[in-house]
Amino acid sequence: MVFIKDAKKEFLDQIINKRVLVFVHLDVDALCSWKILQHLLHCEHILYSVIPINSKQALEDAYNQHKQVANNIILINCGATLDLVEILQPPEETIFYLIDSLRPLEVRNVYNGIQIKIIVLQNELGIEQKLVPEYEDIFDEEEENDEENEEEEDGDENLDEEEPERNRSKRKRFDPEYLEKMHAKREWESKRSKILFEYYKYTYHRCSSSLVLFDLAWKSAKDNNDLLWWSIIGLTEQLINCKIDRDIYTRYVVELNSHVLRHNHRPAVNALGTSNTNPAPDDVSINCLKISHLDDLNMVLLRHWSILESIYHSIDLACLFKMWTNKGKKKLNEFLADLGLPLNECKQKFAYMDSSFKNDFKMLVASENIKEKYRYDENFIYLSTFIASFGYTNKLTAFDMAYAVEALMENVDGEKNLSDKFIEALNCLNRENLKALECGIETAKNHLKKIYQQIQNFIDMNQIVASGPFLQVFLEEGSNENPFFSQIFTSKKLARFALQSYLALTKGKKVRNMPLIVCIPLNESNTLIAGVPPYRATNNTENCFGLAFDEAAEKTKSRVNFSYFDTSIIEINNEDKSKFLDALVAVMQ
Amino acid sequence: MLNMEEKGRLKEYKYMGKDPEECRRRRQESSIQLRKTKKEDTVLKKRNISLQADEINQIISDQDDELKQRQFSMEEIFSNSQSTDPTIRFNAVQSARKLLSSDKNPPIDQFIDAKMLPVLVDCLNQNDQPNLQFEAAWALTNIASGTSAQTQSVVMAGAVEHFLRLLQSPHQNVCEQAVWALGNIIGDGPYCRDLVIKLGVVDPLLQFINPNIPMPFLRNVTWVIVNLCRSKDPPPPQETIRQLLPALAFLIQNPDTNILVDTVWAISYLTDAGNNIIQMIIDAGFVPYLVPLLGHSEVKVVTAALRAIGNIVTGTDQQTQEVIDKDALKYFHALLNHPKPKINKESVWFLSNITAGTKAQVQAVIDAGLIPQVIHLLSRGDLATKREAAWCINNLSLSGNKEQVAYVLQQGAIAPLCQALSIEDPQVLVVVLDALNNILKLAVGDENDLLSVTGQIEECGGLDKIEELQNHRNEEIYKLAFDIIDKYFTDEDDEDLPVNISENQNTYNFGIQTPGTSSEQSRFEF
Repeated sequence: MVFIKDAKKEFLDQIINKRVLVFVHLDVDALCSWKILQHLLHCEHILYSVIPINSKQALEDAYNQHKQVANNIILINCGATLDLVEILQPPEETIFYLIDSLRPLEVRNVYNGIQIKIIVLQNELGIEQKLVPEYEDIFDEEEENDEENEEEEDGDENLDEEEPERNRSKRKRFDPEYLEKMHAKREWESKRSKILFEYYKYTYHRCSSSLVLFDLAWKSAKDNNDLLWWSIIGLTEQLINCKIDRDIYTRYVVELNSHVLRHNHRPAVNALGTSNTNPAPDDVSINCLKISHLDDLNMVLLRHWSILESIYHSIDLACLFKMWTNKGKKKLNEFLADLGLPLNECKQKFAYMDSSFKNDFKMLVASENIKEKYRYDENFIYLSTFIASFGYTNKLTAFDMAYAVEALMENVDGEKNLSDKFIEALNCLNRENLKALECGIETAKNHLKKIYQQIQNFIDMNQIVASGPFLQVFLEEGSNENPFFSQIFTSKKLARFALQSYLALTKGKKVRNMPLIVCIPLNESNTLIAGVPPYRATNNTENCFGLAFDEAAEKTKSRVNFSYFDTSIIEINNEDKSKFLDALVAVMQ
Repeated sequence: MLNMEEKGRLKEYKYMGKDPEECRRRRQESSIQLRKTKKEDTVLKKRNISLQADEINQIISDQDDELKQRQFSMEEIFSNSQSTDPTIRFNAVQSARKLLSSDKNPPIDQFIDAKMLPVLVDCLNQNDQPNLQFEAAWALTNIASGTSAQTQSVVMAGAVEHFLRLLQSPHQNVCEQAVWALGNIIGDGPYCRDLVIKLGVVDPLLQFINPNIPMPFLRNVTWVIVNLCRSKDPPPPQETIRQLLPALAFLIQNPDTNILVDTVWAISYLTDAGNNIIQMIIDAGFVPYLVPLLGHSEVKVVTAALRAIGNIVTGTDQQTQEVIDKDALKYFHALLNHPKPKINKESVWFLSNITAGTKAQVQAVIDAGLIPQVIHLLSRGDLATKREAAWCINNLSLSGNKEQVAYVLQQGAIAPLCQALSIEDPQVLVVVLDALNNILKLAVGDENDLLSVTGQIEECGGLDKIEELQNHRNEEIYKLAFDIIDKYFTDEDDEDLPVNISENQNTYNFGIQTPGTSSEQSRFEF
């Protein structure tokens, strides 16, 4: 196993005084990770170049363009699932350090040892190791040499079909030991293919990269409140995009809360014996970042929206009320009335609402009779998160941040290239840059509105349909919004929302366990297909589409491009689409 | 013995995409290995780190074992195998044999170059050391299993006489190994086959076929018989065939599938070698044994039987009739529906040879209800099957009478035939055009029939295709296409005709008869 055991010694100390090249995937967790890493690099005076990456091809191109710059390469959320040595053909002295939340890791990377080092959360090292198949179960040294023979054997197999093997005009007599060996090898190979099938069956995510790097910063005694805030945002993004489920999220929140308490502790106040009832942080500048834990309402961008809008665009609540129906809208009004909230209050910005309403609202939604009437529990309406304050502005939750940063990256703007988006999103993470943040939040709202509208269309037109073992929905060709929906995180968000809304409106047990694919026409020749696993309250993060897409493509010889690191999103040639989807039904049944 | 079926093949055996793009896409593929394209030393380095110390020791000790096994170099083997000490010599010959039997690609040429062959052949002579004879015979067997040149070098070393002599050895393992070695030599081709026959292999070989012989040995003997029957250029001497027939008749009744399959293949090779030999097979009474095998549960048996019987119907009409008389056609409904395309193809090939026969034979195919399936395969089969189906219809259109052809048309043959004109295979095009031409020719007598056929051809887009084929590079094709258009699709009243054809119409307007002359041909039912 070649997971790094001591990230400081085996990673950070190794790159001191060396130049490093950092490839950062365009996602919130990766960006937060980069902010943390950047701080660490600054501390050690390490010279770096950073390049944003959004696809496999981009990684390859960027590597080939910049490989002369440095021999130490750090990949954040890109590449741990690829056979890097095979694809990039790096010179021997090049070393890759991988920090990636995507699983399963490519086994060749895990067992490479010399050129590839994988950094995972230190206290999860044991679990990570157990997830990967044992070396001797999947690698066979001799096989390397026997390769040619096997190819020949494959050829013979074809011959078999025409005439049986015994019917060759000449036959060798093999040594019994050799036959025994070949037999054992076959069994071993069959076992291996089973092991690997199990291993690669699902794609899923583990601990966020920002948490891995914060852990490193902490253990190197270089952590501070800013780094902590970034790692919180990285973790939050994982929940937003269903990379991890709620239970795991909560576990990490608890873990991070201990850091929050440590960094936001006010020793001076207590040391002076100031009364605890008045814990005014007098000695801490208002400009300092202060983080605290909070059981917040599970409503999207609530502090920047009206209650009504926030409920509309929070998928869980929207599904609770079946918001896409007239009945649902009435039910929502009833709900607000039950809470004693005047409708015009609900329509104005939450921030400007009468503070008594605000406080009441938060209490009342969790009152017993409301919970009973609308059939939800505390976990549904509250969500554990962190809230930050600095300066005299509004407070921001980690969710607000994550939505804002992601919106800036997923924004479709012909003017902006990858680097522009990358820089814009990074700016948004700098807390000094309030303008970028505001822009991000407005963009995020805009995006959520578009998704809501699209779901409404799906439902009005009955466009979500079962196709064998999965649900599917097609976006119309030529729509102006298609480029927007084809952004990787948006496409999956759309798919998840479509699935959840469909389930909310559909009775029947069978559909409960169905995954869903969304097909988004990209241009005249290509369509993007994104698949999401069946909706479940917990443990809904394992995605089986990667393997299924691959198999269906192989069977039909379709022109499919697995452009992204997430293999549950593909691009397919339109001519091959229908046969591919037919094959997908067969594969998944 | 290597028996693939018993070992059970691993379906997803291994993926070795050479195309890098492909490799990338196939990330999920279950096969993995540190790829060859990487430099050897990288591979080694990659390994060293990831291996624990004890794993490394394990590998080192593995290598030691290997060294022990292959302790002799080629020179040592060569010098030791000429030693006067029997133990040293035996060990050397045995290591030689092991080297030759523990690899898919054994170092045969190295042995030949080291002049080991005379040494090994000499070992065959040591009657007092049967184990030495056995090891040497095994080594020579594997040398003879190689290329033709390698087999020849065994023959040149004078091994054949020794092997023939060893057939009389009191030690069964020596006998069996000699049989195997001779099988490889005979399998090299007609020259070696006839040489070994001349030296008298047949009688001693057949003596092994007795109730006491162990099954693996009998399988080997059967396989050698297959090799004796193989090659048809020239076929084995008639005298040899006559000697082998009783043995084959005995073996075809053996319950062992391997032996059955081999026996049927042997017969199929013989039936491929001309009508004389087909007659010998019929006279020896094989047909009643072969026909029921078409319904055998093992695909391998069916494949071989289909080939053997298919070869028989390539013979004379009488020889064909022998097969029909044994009710062979009743198996073809299932065979035409078989999931394996190869079986479909061979079945249609078989039927195409029946439809090339007498009218009664054509009728037998029709009566067996097989024509709809043939037409189905003409439109849905793979390319090779379509080609055979086109032949089948073509032959029928030539040898069948009007009613028979009319029946085929009723079953909807025209559209699939016309579709087959899109196949870019000159042979198929000729066969299909010829078939259409024949069909049209038969319809000429009755204007209703003719209109019906031409109408169908036009309707399914066939006419457009035929018109296009007038521009085909191949002379035969464009002539056929031109003839068809010219004779049957050129009419003053037809306004739909393309301009280039209409230009010629006045010059070449013949072949359409007046309705009055065809009163008696009104039997067409369209």
